[in-house]
Amino acid sequence: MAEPQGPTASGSRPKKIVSYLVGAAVVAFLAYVSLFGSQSLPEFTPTGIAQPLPHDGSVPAVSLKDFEGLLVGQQGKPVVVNIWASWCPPCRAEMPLLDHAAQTFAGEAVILGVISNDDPASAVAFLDQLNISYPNVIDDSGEIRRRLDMSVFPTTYIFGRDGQLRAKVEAGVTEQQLAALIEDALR
Amino acid sequence: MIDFGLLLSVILAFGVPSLLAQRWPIASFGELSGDQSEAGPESHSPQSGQHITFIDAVLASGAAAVLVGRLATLALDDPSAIGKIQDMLIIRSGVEFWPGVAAAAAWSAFAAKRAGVGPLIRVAALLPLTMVGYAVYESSCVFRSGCAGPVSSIGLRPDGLGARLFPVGIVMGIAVVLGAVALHRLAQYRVSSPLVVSCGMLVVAAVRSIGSFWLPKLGDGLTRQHQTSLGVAAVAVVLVGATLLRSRRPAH
Repeated sequence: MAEPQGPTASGSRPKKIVSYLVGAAVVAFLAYVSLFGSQSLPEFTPTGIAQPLPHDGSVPAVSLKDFEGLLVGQQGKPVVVNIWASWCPPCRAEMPLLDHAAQTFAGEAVILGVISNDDPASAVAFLDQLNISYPNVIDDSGEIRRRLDMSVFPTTYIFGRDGQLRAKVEAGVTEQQLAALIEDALR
Repeated sequence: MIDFGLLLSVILAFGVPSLLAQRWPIASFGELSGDQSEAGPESHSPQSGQHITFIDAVLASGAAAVLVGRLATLALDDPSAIGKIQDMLIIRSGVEFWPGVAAAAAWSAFAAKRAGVGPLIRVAALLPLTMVGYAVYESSCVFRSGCAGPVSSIGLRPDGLGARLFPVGIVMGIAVVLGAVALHRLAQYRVSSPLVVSCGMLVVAAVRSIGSFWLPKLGDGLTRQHQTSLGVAAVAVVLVGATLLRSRRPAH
């Protein structure tokens, strides 16, 4: 049976077309931002004198120079640097995942936490509470965060075996992303 | 920070089945009640006439799925975060799939029962379009830098990776769409609603179980999501078998 073609049916057609056009524009905008809106990596190549990673649960405050030394000291292995703060819920949510990665890739890759823009006592208490096993340092001046062009908490950076920055993941990393990035850096 | 890729995936997951519903209409509650009286409680074939939109039918159950899926993840991973609104709102840190599906199905069934329609009839009527929505979500991994899989020369290169990865999510999406088309055809033959629902469950669980073998993960064991999908697939096989046996039993 044919649909009724009264004034209501004919009047709703332009409305329908407009709603489809608005929907298509929103989808096109979001697709563009998702595909091409990713930020470029900062130009950052660590240099300086190699330094060992902190051990025995110590969480030292480090300067940018010290931080570069830590990365230089790990050349030959991929390094995952996670900048976080205890007041940031997404940071806390991804830390068990990073700890799992540290255990899975022990000896092959290094996970290094950098506490920034936070009260050191709160951050250390949080590390103890979650029983985090990978090393952490404190960026008390904020210069590490600024040098790495960080704009969102948390941000995770992947450095290759050669010490070059390979990838940056903002606002939380998923298990699939983290595993793929580390495995790619190990190849 | 807004995750534009995730937002787009969710819009597409609701939008594409909504458009498809113009070709695969969903029978309204009233029509389904009519079917019940005319063709027996197991029938769910949509009739021509007035139809409800896909969005009307699944928006509340989709919200229930996200809420329950998120709470299940928190209960399993970080029970202390339950009740902390900020922690609970970080959807990207995990939404358990199958508890979410169970919640969505339960909500749809509850809504159907209130409207005097058989709960399984309602769930079966929505299932093919809902599967298309899930397939679109999986396939839109390209917008979330999430099209991971084994290294392959014909794959995509997500942000920050040197190698191309075979996009397992896209293949999973195609497989679920094929399953949804088959289910839609099956529903037109007036097969029982329990058979439609159990077949749909089996398709999705099998696709997730097989696809998960190729997805990157931390450690050697199966992920919790993978184990759950295998378990659901096993349950679905039993349900499909039981429903087929029941349908072949002669009526008294």
